[in-house]
Amino acid sequence: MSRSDLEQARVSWLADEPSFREFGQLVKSGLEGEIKRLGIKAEVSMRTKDIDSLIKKLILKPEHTYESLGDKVGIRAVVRYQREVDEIVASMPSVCGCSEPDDTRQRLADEKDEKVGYISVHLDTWLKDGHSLLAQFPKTKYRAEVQVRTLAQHLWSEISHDTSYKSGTKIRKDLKRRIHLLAGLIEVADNEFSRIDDEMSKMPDMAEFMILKALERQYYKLSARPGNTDLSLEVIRLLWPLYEQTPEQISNRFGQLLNEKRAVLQDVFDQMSKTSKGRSAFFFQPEILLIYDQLQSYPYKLRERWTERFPPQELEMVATAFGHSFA
Amino acid sequence: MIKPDDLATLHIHRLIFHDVPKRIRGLEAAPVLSEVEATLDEDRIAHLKRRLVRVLGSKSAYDIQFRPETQSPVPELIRDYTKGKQRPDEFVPLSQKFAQFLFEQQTGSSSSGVLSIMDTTVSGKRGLVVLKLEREEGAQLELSTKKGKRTFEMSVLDNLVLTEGTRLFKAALFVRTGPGGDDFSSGACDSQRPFGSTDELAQFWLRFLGCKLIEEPRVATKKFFEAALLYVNDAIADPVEKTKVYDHVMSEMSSEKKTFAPRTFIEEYVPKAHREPFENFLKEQQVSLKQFPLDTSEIVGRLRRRSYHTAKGAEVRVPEEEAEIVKVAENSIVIADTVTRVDHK
Repeated sequence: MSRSDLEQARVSWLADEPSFREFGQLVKSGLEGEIKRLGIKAEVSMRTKDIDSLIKKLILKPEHTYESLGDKVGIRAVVRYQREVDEIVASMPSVCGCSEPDDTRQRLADEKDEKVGYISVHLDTWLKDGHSLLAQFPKTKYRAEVQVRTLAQHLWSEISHDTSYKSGTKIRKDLKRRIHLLAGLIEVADNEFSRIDDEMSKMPDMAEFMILKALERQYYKLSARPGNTDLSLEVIRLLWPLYEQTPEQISNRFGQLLNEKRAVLQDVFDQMSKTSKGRSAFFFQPEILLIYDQLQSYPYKLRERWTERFPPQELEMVATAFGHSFA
Repeated sequence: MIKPDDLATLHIHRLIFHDVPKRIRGLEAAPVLSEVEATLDEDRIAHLKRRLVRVLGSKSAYDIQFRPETQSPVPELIRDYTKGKQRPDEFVPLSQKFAQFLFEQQTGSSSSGVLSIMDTTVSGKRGLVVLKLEREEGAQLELSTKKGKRTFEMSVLDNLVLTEGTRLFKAALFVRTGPGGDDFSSGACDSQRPFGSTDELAQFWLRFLGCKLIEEPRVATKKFFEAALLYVNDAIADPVEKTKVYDHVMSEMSSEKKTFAPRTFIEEYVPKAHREPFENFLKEQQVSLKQFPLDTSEIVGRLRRRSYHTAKGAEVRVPEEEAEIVKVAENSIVIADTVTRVDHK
């Protein structure tokens, strides 16, 4: 690419970047909405390429022009478990137009020597046909790369990015072997986290975890704000016996609860997110759904049990947020 | 009927305060009316809403409806304002009419106060909150100026409602549920005076609002009484508990209390294991859990009991209105009835 082409690319990007940012926000909001609908805890971020990265990429990839260069907008969702990556990727077509997912895990597995290394799913995305802003952001120009990965995959990606493990550089054989071992270790860890999570949420002797998992699945449909797990487990341990039901039966209640009361719950969550002074510390916790359920089903027992362990005024704040008065 | 979900989804969109003094014969006085609405402040709104929920959702709150015939302009103002789309321009003049009418009514022993009108939605349905905050005589409220017009800003709440100690609080919420003139779900509460009190002041708030209770007190009393006895007879197995709750029902219904709050009764007299089931049973029987004035005119005969005590320690109690089922002879007592249960204490 000639110097004048690079200069032109610089000028073009300075002019285009704000509209690409706006487009990126649009896709990000859609993705966040879908992740919320699925009830998955995720960190979603969006960035437009900074001018230096853009020029460097054009220098390193001379086959590209300014127009053909992808990845001008990048959106990343980092989740906890592989099954969540699969769920999000599967539902991407409902959010935006998208390419077939480029799943590096699949690609590595297909290779002859079954390599290990950077794993992530990438999709090229654009606004769907019929989108009200399609004229403003035509799909021939406005594309965003969406990456979906687990925390462990993210760790590998970040560290390998900084240490050029994945560049085409010739690396000494013994070092290469150690890098592969490390990548394998991270992949094993990732798989194990998924398996442990799966098993823990099915063990009847770990009722609190099972109930917490069921609560999280519904809670993240209402809020992306993570709770404090230790506090969650303490609250669940204190209150779940009030149901006099098995953990499986209790876990099933919350899906039903959200189906019936989603509009009210979302309204209250939106209100509470606007006021930090006016809400209980127990509000943005997954077990808030259990408290809400018990406020309606066991108001007297709940108050009695709550005061054995937690400040009554916190329950009172939660109750008033949901329209219940103790006065 | 105002439900917890209604209070949870209450949103305050506009709010205004007017300072409404008491009318004293021979003294010149006039309400100090805001000319523009207050600037909303999210944290204060959240706090105010919490106080409203505490009051309108409390055991002392009651469901109300507009009186068909009333001197109060309030029902018509509410009907008109909540009809159709929101009309922000009409909010300030509307609130001033409320304040003017309150001032006209505030004579005798009524207290001065700050009247607040709030333009609200509840689950997207239009509504209005009417709130009267009483304040100490002589307490000054600071007027601000916004775009050349005077107003009381939300900071006036800091001394009136946002302190936990504020008790003097009259509130009402009206939510439009349909296009008709009476398609409203409404509730009110007067934390200063229970509405059942017979004195003039206690009726003041309902009269100002042009409203009445949704259920006649005699009907509400009878419904609670009958449902409670049904539950005691069918659902409480332990004979000691059964007798205790039964006695509490009879005693509360026969008391001199002006008002009765079912939720207070549950908390004070129903055994812990029966609280939730009893409350659910009352709901199933369409018994309101809100406070109502105690009016035993329809159950008075069933509250009076006639007791027979025998030489060997037997005790027979029958409702006064069923006294004829007992036949007493020199050495026997015969009850012409069917035994439905025998308790062993």
